[in-house]
Formats: sequence, structure tokens, C-alpha cells
Amino acid sequence: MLQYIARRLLLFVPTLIVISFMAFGLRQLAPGDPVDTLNKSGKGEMTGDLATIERAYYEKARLLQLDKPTFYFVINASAYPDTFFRVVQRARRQTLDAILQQSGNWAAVSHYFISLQHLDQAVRNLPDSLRGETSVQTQRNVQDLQVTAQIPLIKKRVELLKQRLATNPKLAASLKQATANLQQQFDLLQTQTQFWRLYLPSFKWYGLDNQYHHWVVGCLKGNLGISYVDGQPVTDKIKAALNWTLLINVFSIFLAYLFAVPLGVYAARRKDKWQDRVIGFFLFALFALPSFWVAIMLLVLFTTPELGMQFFTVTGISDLAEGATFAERLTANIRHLILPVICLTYGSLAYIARQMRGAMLQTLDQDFIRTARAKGIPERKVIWRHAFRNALFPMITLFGTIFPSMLAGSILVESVFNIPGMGKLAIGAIGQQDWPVVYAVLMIGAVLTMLGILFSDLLYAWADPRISAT
Amino acid sequence: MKLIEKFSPLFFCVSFLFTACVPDSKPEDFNRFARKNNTAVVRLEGDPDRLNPITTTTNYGRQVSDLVGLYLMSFDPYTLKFQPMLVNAVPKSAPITSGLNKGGVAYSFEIHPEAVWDNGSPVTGNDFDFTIKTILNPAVDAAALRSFAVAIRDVKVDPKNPKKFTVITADPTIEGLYNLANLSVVLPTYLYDPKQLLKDVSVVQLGVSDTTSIKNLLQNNPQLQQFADVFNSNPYARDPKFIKGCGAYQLISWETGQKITLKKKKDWWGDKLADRFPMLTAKPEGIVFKPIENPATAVAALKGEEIDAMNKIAPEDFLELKKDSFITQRYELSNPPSLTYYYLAVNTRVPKLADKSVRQALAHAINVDEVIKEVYKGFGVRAVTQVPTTSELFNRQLKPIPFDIAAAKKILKDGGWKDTNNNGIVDKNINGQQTELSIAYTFNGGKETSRTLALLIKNNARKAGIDIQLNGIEGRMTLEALKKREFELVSAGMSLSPIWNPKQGWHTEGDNRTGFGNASVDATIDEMLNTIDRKKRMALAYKLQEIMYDEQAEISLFIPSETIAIHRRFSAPKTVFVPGYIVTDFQLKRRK
Repeated sequence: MLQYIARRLLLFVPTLIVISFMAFGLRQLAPGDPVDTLNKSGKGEMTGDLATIERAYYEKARLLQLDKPTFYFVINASAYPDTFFRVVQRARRQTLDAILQQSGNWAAVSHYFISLQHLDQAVRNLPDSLRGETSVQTQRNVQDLQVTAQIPLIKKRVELLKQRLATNPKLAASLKQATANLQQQFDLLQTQTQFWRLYLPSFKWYGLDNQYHHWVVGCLKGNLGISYVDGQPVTDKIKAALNWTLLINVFSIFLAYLFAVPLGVYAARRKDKWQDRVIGFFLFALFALPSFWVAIMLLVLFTTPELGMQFFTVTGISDLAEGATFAERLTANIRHLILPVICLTYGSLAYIARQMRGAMLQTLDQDFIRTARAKGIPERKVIWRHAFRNALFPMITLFGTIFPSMLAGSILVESVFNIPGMGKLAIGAIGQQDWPVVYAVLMIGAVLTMLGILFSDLLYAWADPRISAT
Repeated sequence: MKLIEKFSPLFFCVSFLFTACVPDSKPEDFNRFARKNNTAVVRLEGDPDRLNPITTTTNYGRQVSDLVGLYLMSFDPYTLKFQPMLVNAVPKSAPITSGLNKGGVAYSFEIHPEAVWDNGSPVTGNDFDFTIKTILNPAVDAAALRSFAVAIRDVKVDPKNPKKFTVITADPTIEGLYNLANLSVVLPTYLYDPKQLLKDVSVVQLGVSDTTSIKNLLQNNPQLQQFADVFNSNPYARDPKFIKGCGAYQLISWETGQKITLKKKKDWWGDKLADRFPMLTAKPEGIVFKPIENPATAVAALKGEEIDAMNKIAPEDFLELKKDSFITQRYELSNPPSLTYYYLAVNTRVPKLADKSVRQALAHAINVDEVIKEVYKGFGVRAVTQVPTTSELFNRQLKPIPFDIAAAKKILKDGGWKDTNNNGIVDKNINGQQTELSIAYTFNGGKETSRTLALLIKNNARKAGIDIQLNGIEGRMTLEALKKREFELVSAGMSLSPIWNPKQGWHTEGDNRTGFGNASVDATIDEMLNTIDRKKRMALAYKLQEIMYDEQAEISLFIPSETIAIHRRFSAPKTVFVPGYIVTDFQLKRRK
């Protein structure tokens, strides 16, 4: 058995690696830029000149290690340089990427962009004597060019820039070198295309100094990283949240099985009688009720005085002192957990009960049950000693799937009942692009799911001696 | 002093304040209330990230830390005048006419003699100097605040009386004073820098902004990094032992995701001054913030009398609550205007939208009154420009652009737009190409109100011969589209400051997302921001608004109202500042 468990635990490793790849991959596709989100104060967005804002961006990106390559290697078109990750600003990287897709020549793209930045600097450094309508429009033009990715549009804007400067010879003379350089680099960008490089794959090796490696090494040392949003160790945040989620989920699963199993067995025993129909009707009704609606209804009915049934409060779950035992935690908060537990339980209760009924009916139809009845064994004994154990197998299988589904359900329940658990943490982290927390939630969710499945397999082996756990 | 007196009338003279800010002070029957104490429980829409006033990046963190500490000065939430808070008077100012800081201004402040920290030591100019140095320290996680602080060039503390100090700023505008006196609450040096790591570094030394100088600064002063490592750390963001200030309240506990408890200090020094300095008012004995993100949950908590104050109630819920006698007996529901502005940004770089007549016609084809009524259930007032209509700087000659399809059609016709192919959409030859007037409208597709607004705009614009293509995308993507200028028409909103500064949006040196701008507008903005003379400043503001009104690069929609509920055991004046009330002004009513 121990060997079996060890082998199963080893199998967790590749699964977790694949999940971590997916998490990192999805991050690249997710919209928004966490640096922009975080580079503000309680007073609001950053202000000031663009250079200050850009420098602050790089400071923060460096702090979050976003200036490192994402992974050990990258396989992409050979047109991309191996230092493309160093373009940290997401919006700028997207612009350069789009231009590169139309040229295939990275050297030409980067030279063009550098010439554009030089022109921008030259316009900003113009003496007051040259400032006027033309310089202002030129500046506008240059700013627009820095976010323009389509070559035909760039062409139009470069032409417009030249036309503008032609109307002011003094300004044109002052910016002559920078403008000529821009034109030259843009011409090269258009003429020295290397489209073939967009179709030729290349492999770039970045070594161990990459975001993924640092994260994995941290995880192996028990350090899941630091939250982007509040600077807290992710481990601490997860620990605090997991306490609540496990508490309500363990209760829910326990209650669901506690009520569902006898209900299912009873319904099976009363097959096609009015009791079976009534139970079936209620179970289907429960299963069909959307949990968000039930959660809101429970909230409105039992936490507000509208119908005179204000038995619970919406807020009030509180942290306990460090080292508080499970019993202390439970006693202090049980009142706040009743509604969320009901909400998480009813759906799975209905499902498990229906499954139990089905499994029981199937078992009761077996020859060995008929034999037992023929031998005159009391019905209660037939049901509970002979049929029940055989009908349990589907229930055990269900256990492996019910746990992850409840974790998913926690997202809604925790949000509605304001419980600071994993679901609420996950939703908040995704919204705020707090990737270290998102990764950790994902990985822990995966581990718990796999443990649930492993536990159900072990139960299966225990319940059925025919199954070998080796 | 005179400079400030000149400025003060520039701030909002908000007529509604005279009516709406007067609290209802009739005695109440407390027997029907679930809670009767003088502790106000306030709903927050989210949990703060940190409670350190320098490193927090959220408004929630700032709301809490603002109660623990004090600013030098702050806006009076009712008169919107910039008033002394930790200092005993508006500062004396002296323009600097020579030397390194030529063109800047020196402001002289004096901290209240009574002001003390929790350990009994006096609050001095050295503490303000320390606060600025902390913000300017490049290793401290405060990039955004630093961008405001760079204009502060020096802080000189009077050696004879450390309560007196002078701040030199390079920014001579009214915003310069605001940015230094309202930048951050003043931090206690003894608590945040017990090893005096910043003592030997000056504001002047820290005032570098280029990458090389910053690198050198950190290399030559390793204590900066040493200080920052501690200051940025978790205890200084969350632990009540390290979240302290000279304000009226002390942090008792922070239970993540559940509540933040503040208690009023016993015999707080500011109480004696509150009559003369209203910004020091602190009435509740305790304040508890409860983060409740889900709006339905928050409304349930309100109905259960678990919270005393809540803002941003959804318009539909607000109307329902108003009909509920249980709620109206226990809560005062009100909807004061807010300092928020909704508009449509038009990308003038797009050839068809570079045509002013198209933008003007579009403005006539949007039924803003219908939008306010149908989408926002009447909770909003029309905006004419980005200056609130209640501001002294608002040009009252300008009237809201009426919804007038005939006028829109005429403007388009005069601009050369005709429906030549009889498809119901006008077209025009632009740069040799026959162009249909079809505009892509980008909006937050995940928001019900945004979707309804988009449909209303589309339907009405069509009547004028303008085709609106709806492009509903994820909320953050709309911001990205704006930043990358990849839009034609996009819905946007902004928070307004009592000081109107159009530089970011309309100056070509700002981010200027609509692409509108010319030398004349740039010069007018610069002149307005640098003008001290009130009348001249108003005239320039009027001129700018005339240009904005004529150009319609931003099509003004409306100023939304706050929708707030405050428990009836408190009398609470309302303000245009978010969240619409000031919790320190909650006065427990007399019992009937």
C-alpha cells in the first residue's frame, strides 16, 4: 500500500509541472499590465513627465522580476531577438512585435524605434525660440508614431511629419539630423524585410535566471513568493485563506454524505412508491437550484429583518489568535458558517443521494441479494450489510470529484458570504493580476484535487478487497 | 499668505453644499436601532493592500491611514478650500528670484504647538523632512508618490523652533502647494527610523531623477536601501505597532478581509483645536471599516444594520431601499454629486474624426438626458466640459449640447457629409476615398450600464446618419486601447480634483489620448496653471473651455451622483469628495 501511495504521489509531479506551465502561459495571454496597476498611490495614477513614469515602470518591473525571461527557453520565429524580453513595457513590446510581424528584420525595427526616440528627445529639447504650433504638432506626431504599429500608417505619419517641418525651415533645420535618421531607418525597415525569418523557427536558451525557475525553486523551498499587491508572503495569505475554505468544505462534504447516503438508500428501498417520488422531486429541485440564487436568497431571508428571520449576520467571521485550535476556531465562528455550508452542501447532497439511489437499485437487483433474501436474512441486514457495501463504490469515486467541485463552488459562496477563503482570494488575485497568488491558488487547488482522488482510490481499495493497491 | 488668499476663491463655490452639507440634527428614538454606540461602521468595497500611507497603492489603504495621520493641509470637504490641518495657518509664500531654485516658491509653515506623537514627543518640521526623504528615497516602494514629490527641492527646519519650517518647491503653481502639503500624512521619525538612517541624507541629495544619479545615490548611501528594506516590509504595512501617526485615531487591529478597527485616542491633542481648525474634527469614538466586495452582500449587511455608512449603492438598489420603510427609518439615503466625470473620448488622429463637424454632430446625436434617466436612474447631472458646473472656473456661458438629430444632420451636411448611396449612413470623400461615417465605439462589454449606454448611443446616432459599430471588450482592455491610441470612440471616466489641471488630457506634453492639441491650447494651459491672478486665471479657464466645447474631442456626458446610506443615529454632512461623507464628522444624535 505504501509503495502504491508513493508511486501515486510521484505521479503528482508531472501533473503539477504541466499545470504550472499552463499558469505561466496563460499569464502571457491575459490582458492588462500588473506594473501599471501597481504603480500608483492612494492618491491615484502617476503623474509627471514621461521619463519619470517610464523609469518608475522599470523600477517596479525589476522589483517584480518581470525584466527576466519567462522560461528556460523559447521557441519562436528567428526574427525575434533573444533579448526581446528586455522590452519590459507590455504595450511597447506589443507595438514592436506588431511591427516585426510586418518586417521580419529585428535590427531594422529596433533602429527605427531608437531613431524615433532620438527625434522625440530632440523635439523635447528644442529651445523656446523654436517652440510654436509646428513644434507642438511635431511632438504630437512623434508621440503617435511611438504607439503606431501598422507600417502603412507609420508611412502616412512620417510623411505628415515631414510636411509639417517643411512649413517651418528653422525648426526643420534644428531637427534635420534626427528626422533624416528616422526617415533612413524607416526606409530600411521597409526595404530590408526578412519575412523568411518569421517562418524559420529558432530555439533560444535563457538558462536558469528566468521567472519560472525562480518561482519553482522558491516553491520547492516552501516559498511561494511575495504578493504583487500587498507585499505579503503568498504562503501566509494562502494559509489564512485555506483555513476557511477547508473548514466549510470539510463540513459540507461530511454533511452531504451524512444525509445523502441514507436518503438514497431509503429512496431505493421505496422505489416507485410515493416516498421515492417525493424524495426524487425534492432532490431534482435542489440540484436544479442555481447556487448564486440560493446564496442570495439565504442572505436576504436570514441576515436581514425583512421577514423576521434575522438569525445570522453577514459579517463577523474573525481571525483568531495565532495557534488557535480547530475547535476554538469552529466554536467562535460556527454561526457565520451555517449559511455558507448549507449553500455548498445542498447541490452535492442532491447529486450524491441520486447516485446512491441508483447504485443501491443496481445492487439490489443482483443475484447475491436475491439469494440473501431467499435465505431469510432480515431485510435491514440485507440492505446494510450486503447491498450497502457494494453500492458504496460509486460513492467513493464521487468523493474524488466532489472535493474539487466544492472548491470551485467556494468562489461564489465566499464572495456572497464575505468569507476570506481561497475562492475570494483567487478572484481578487485574478482581478488585480497578482500572479504569484494566482499560481499558488492554482497549484494548491490542483494538489488538493489530486489528494482527493488519491484518497478516493485508497478508500476504494479498502472497500473492495478485489482491488489491489500495489 | 496673500498668495493663498488669492487662490482660495478659486476653489469650488458649491451651491449645493449650503443645503446638502447641513446635517439632520433632530433627536432620534434610539430604541429602534440595532446599535446605539458612537462607533461608526463603514463599508469598504475592497480590502486595503497596506495601511502604510507611503506604500499603499489603493484608495482603501489611504482612507484608513488618513485617519491615523495628518497632512499639513487638506481640502475642506464642504467649502473645498485648502485649509490648515497639522499646521496652524496657511503658509507664507515667497517667490524665489535667484539661485538654484529660481522660479520656485518657498512656503513657510508652523506646526500646531500642541501637536504631539503617541510617545508624547512634539511633531516637528523634522518629521515632515523625514516624510519627504522617505518618499524621495528611490529604494522605497513609492514610485507614484515620488512623481508628485520631485518638485520639492528642500525642507529647512528652523533650528530655534523646529515646529517652524520652510519648504522650497520648483512648482510655483497652486498645484505645487497642494502637492507638497497634501502629499502624505506626516510620519513619526522616532517610529519609522529608530536607527536614524535618513538623518544624514538631505532632500537636496535625494532630489535626483536620472537613472545614473539614482544608481550612484544608492551606491554611495547604502543606508537608503537598509532603511527601505525595513520600511517596505510587512510589519510597517500591517502591524498596529507600526501604523501610527499624530491623528485622532489609533489602529487597533486589521483582520484581513473582515474588518479594520480604529479607536479614538484618549485626550487627543487636536480636540482642543477642532473649533478653530475644523480639519481636526474627530467625532466618533471608534471607526470600523468592513470590506464587503459583493454589492448584494453589502446591501444585506445594510438591511441587517451591520454597517452604518455605505456608498456606491447600485441605482436600482438605491431606489428599492428608498421604498423600504425599515431602511428609511434607520438610514438617511442621499445622492450628492461627486467629483467624477464621464465622457466619450474621440480619437482625432482618425481622418474621419479629425473633422470637427463629425464630433459636433455626434455630440448632438447623443441623448445624455436619456442616458442619465435610463441607465443611471436619474443619478447624475449633465456635464458641459470637464470642469464641474459648480466650480467657479466653469464657463457658465456654455450650455449642455442639446440632443437634436436635425442639428446633427445639418452640421454633417454643412461639413460635406451626404448619404450618396442611400444606405442611411452619410459619407464623404476623404483623401480621395469615399468614406462612410462608421465609427467603432469601444466600451467595457462586461458592464451592464456600459452595454445599455452603447445601445442608446448607437440607436440615436443612426438617426443622424452615423453608424456606430459596437466593440465591447474587457474593462482593462479599454484602458489599453486608450493608451495605445487604438480606438475611434471610447467611453471613459475620470476623477476630478478641486484644482482643475487639464494638462494631462489636453496639452501635447500630456498623454493626450484624443490626439487633440495645438500650440495655442498648450500656451493657454501653461498660462492658466501659472497664473496667480484670480480673474485672469478664470478668463483663461473660460477660454480653454470654449475651445474644448467647440472641438468636442471629449464629448461630455455627465457627473454621476453618489448613492449613499448613513445610519440615522448619526448626523452626517455630505460632500462631493468620494465617498460622499466624511466619517470623522459623524455626530451621534441626541436621544429622544
